[in-house]
Amino acid sequence: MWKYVIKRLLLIIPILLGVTILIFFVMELSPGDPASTILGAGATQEAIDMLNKELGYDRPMLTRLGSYIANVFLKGDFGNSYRSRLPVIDSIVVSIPISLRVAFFAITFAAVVGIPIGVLSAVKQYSLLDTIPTVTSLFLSALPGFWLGMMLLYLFALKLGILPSYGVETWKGFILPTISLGLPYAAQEMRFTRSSMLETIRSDYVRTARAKGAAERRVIWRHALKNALLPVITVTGTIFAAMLGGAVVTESLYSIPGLGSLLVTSIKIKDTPTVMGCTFVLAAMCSLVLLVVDLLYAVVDPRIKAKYSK
Amino acid sequence: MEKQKKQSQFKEVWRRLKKSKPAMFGLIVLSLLILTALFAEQIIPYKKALEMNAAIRLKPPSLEHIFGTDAYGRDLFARVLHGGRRSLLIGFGATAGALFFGWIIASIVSYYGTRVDNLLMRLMDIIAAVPMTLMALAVVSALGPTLQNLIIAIAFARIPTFARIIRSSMLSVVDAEYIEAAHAGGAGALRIILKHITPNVSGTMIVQTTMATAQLILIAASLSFLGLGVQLPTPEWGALLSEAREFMRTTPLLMVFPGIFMVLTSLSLNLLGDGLRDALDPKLKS
Repeated sequence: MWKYVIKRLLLIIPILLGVTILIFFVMELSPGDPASTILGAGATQEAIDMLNKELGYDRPMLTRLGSYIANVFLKGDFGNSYRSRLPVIDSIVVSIPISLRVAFFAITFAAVVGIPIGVLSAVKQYSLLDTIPTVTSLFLSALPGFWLGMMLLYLFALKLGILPSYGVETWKGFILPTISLGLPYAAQEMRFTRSSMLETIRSDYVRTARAKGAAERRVIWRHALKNALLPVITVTGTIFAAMLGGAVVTESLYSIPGLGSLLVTSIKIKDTPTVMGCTFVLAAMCSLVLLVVDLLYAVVDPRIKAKYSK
Repeated sequence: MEKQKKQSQFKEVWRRLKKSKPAMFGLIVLSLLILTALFAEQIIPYKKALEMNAAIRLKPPSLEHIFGTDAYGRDLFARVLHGGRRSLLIGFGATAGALFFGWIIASIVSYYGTRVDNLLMRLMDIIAAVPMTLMALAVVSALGPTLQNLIIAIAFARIPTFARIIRSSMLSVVDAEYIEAAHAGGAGALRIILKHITPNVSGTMIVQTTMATAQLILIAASLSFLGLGVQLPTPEWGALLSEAREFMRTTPLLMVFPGIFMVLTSLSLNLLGDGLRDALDPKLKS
């Protein structure tokens, strides 16, 4: 098992290396040099050249790529912001906990709402307890999260005035972002849990459990649910990773000072080092989440554990 | 003979699809949305979507302006309709691009096998390691916020998903006996991919395409909403919502109408996709 964990951890490194190179080349696509962007249209060519040299931009592209990779992977240094001239890593470190908190609340909300309803509607298939959640979830998963966020903002913050419309200084500030980020995903969790549960209920060992006379409640809770929830773990992890990326819009709608807001602001002021840093950190967090999910899956599913313990 | 066979298969899928009420609802709503987008100019001229009139700012719906007017006195109905033209164009365009490149990559790796597979699929892993919205955001910020770049950025971010799904369907086909027979018959790589492999995974591709379109329209709208996609005053659903945000307090209707159109689009595509999946592969239906 440990061998597997280490192997998987090591496999993340080439992926992240690839991500760094990819982001670097994507950013190279943007026209112009950093100094002209920083200094604006009025600057003299001399000043532009000098600043470019100071930023190390006068070196050939591959040299810059090489030193960027070395700095990121060996020193954890993402360079300095073009605007504030302070290390990018400082502003990233401040934003990570905020983003993680928002995504964590949202995934908890999605799981706590989606999974039980999904189980219930599978157990009571074709009844009203199945139809209503299924139809609702169809609508919810078609909702753009940021539009839902705007409507909630209007209703609860502007009309009723019971929740703050921006910031996360108090716990109340988390409520609207959690719902608007989490609700469309709660619908996904519900749909997935439902179909996984339906599949399990029809499997042979559930029939056996019923045949040997186990009570229906015991069949559902002891035999079916445990197995039906296994694939749900994977989906929840994938959703959590998607949330980290998708939270960009939610954060900016509710003015939450997380990684997403930092990224969007940096894009707008063309602060390339910060954009690269944020993208890298978010991609790294997603890869780690997916790794944890895979490992967790191996822990709870003895079949997979057996495969890797060899 | 061959033609007849194809047609009967199409008929069979259509017969099953027709039976599904949600799928038919989705198909009708989607057709209406596409028609209004195609004939937006005939329904209400584009210049009405740009014509400002300070005398009628933020007016509620009336006979003359059925969705009301925005902060500059422009007709909101015209803006939503012409916005739909762009939103749908971006959604369908980006999906088509991602599907095309995803299909090419999947064909290459499933036809040529292990070594190419390792190389290209690891590349896909790298692109997919960055969440889709984030990747599209990075690409569009580097290329500059225009409609065309938005399509490129979103398509690029979606390629790995298509490549992976089409690849896994193709892998279940490439070892089939009829492929072997085609090889034995002297068919070239291109012919085998186009005539023998692709038709057998077309079901997956069709379903994935409808689902992806819904998803990509929403991603495009969220990028425009952040100000990194279609630029105002050009109407696009996400851009309209970002404008509506400023007048949320006084005129909430500004955000309601574009939002409803977006929800209808993505709902109809999802319903159609669900229906198509069941119709194309009845075995999967629970």
